[in-house]
Amino acid sequence: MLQEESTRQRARRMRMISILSIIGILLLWFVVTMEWQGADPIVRSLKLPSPARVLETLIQVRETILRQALVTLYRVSLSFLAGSALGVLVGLVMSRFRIVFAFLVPHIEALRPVPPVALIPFFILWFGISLFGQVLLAGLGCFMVMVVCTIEAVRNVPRIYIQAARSLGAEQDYIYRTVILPAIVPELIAGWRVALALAFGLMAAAEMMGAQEGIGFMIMVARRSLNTPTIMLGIIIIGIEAALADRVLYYFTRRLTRWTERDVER
Amino acid sequence: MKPDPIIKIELNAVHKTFHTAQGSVAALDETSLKINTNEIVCIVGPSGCGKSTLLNLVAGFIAPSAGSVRVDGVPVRGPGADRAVVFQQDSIFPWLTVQQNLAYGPRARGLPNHEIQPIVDRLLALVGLTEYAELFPLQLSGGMKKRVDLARAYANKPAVLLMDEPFGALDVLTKEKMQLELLRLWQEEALTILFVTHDIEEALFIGDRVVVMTPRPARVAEDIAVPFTRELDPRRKTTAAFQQLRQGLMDTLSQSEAEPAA
Repeated sequence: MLQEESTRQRARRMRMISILSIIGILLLWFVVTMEWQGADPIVRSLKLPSPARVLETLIQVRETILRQALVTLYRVSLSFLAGSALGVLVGLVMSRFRIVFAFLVPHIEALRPVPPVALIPFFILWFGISLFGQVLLAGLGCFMVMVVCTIEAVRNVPRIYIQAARSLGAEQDYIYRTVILPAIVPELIAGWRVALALAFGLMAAAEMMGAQEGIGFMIMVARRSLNTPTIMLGIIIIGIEAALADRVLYYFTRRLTRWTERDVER
Repeated sequence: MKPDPIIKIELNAVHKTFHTAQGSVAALDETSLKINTNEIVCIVGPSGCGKSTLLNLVAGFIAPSAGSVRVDGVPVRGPGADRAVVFQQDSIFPWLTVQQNLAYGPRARGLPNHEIQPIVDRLLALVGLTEYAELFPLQLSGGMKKRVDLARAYANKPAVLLMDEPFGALDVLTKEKMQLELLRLWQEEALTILFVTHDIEEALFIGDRVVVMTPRPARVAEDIAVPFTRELDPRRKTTAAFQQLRQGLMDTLSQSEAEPAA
């Protein structure tokens, strides 16, 4: 009982530290952009708009910005779901069949270091300014992360589980479904979190270069008129969206890892 | 060659050499062994001598470099449901509950659900895990995990049970309980057991026969029939006759360790 109480207290203390950290950054932002009795702020408002200006902008454009945020979220969700599902699938097939591995590995290894953003000009040429091109770009990023993550995770599955399964009469395909797949889930979660954040970043980039709506598009338009409060607002909204999406992902994947030690309080 | 119905496992002049980057290592040398149906044979030997190699050959995880390994007169070609394995490390699946673990073998072999459930329920009761059926292995103690492991092997109704230092990682008391558990299960449902251990006392307590191996490359140094009745009473270990035999085997072991293999 005593032990339980103290871990809970500690969790609360840790949360307090996180909140203080956020408040500290906001305060710093407030101070360096403050106009004190007509004097210039430490950082000029063109370079860094004050929190008040950003808030003002938010109130002015609240309806359109909600729409832009939802458009971006929708595109990111599509990219993440399709890209990472396909990535896990291809990673599993590559691990299972050496021929497929040998066939695909040179392309994946060659394409992996290329920043997907570099492909944007081609994607616009091939697919125009379309949802397909945007989703393909961000999805490709997720795909690459998950292929590599899956292959490595399969390699890390303890041999003893596979030997045990074989001695219980399981065939190779059955082992992939009932041993390898569940065993790699904890490592896949790490990959999914990386891929999800990457999808937001890539989608923002795709929207800046070829889109007619979305947060990235909004930032790009604001850039032309040096409308820094709107740019700042876009950045904050993408950050909040990505953080919330990460929590949602955490919530869903928690159920998959009830059998591991990761959620045990310590 | 016609298979002898009494002989379950037969190793004939088996050699096993491992080729690694550091060179070749002979693990087994000219090993021959016959194990009868429903017999418990314990293999003891100095650590790293190749006892586990012998077991892995019968399990089908590795193939012999020379000689033959047969089960029921048929050469072993790979792992199979007829030969269950219990390892020293935990090998029960942590992502499955206790009862899902027990059901794994029957399910993998494609048994229908209405046949699996009675098997699982009976074994859960037999090893006293009925109330833990829905728990994940994470929530179990070391001894309970071992019982799940043993029950999972039994649930698949194998002809042969291969055990590789299964109780080596347990504390003394739990180990003794598990030895009794194993004998109780075996009396309930007999099958052929090949039991690798470095614990001579354990071997004498469990085995019908104790086979002593030499250091690497391992061969059979001695093969003795255990003359005791198999009562489920650990006090058996403290009788004079038991201890005398234990000492004799200890001497054989330390002798073989003293003079390196030719």
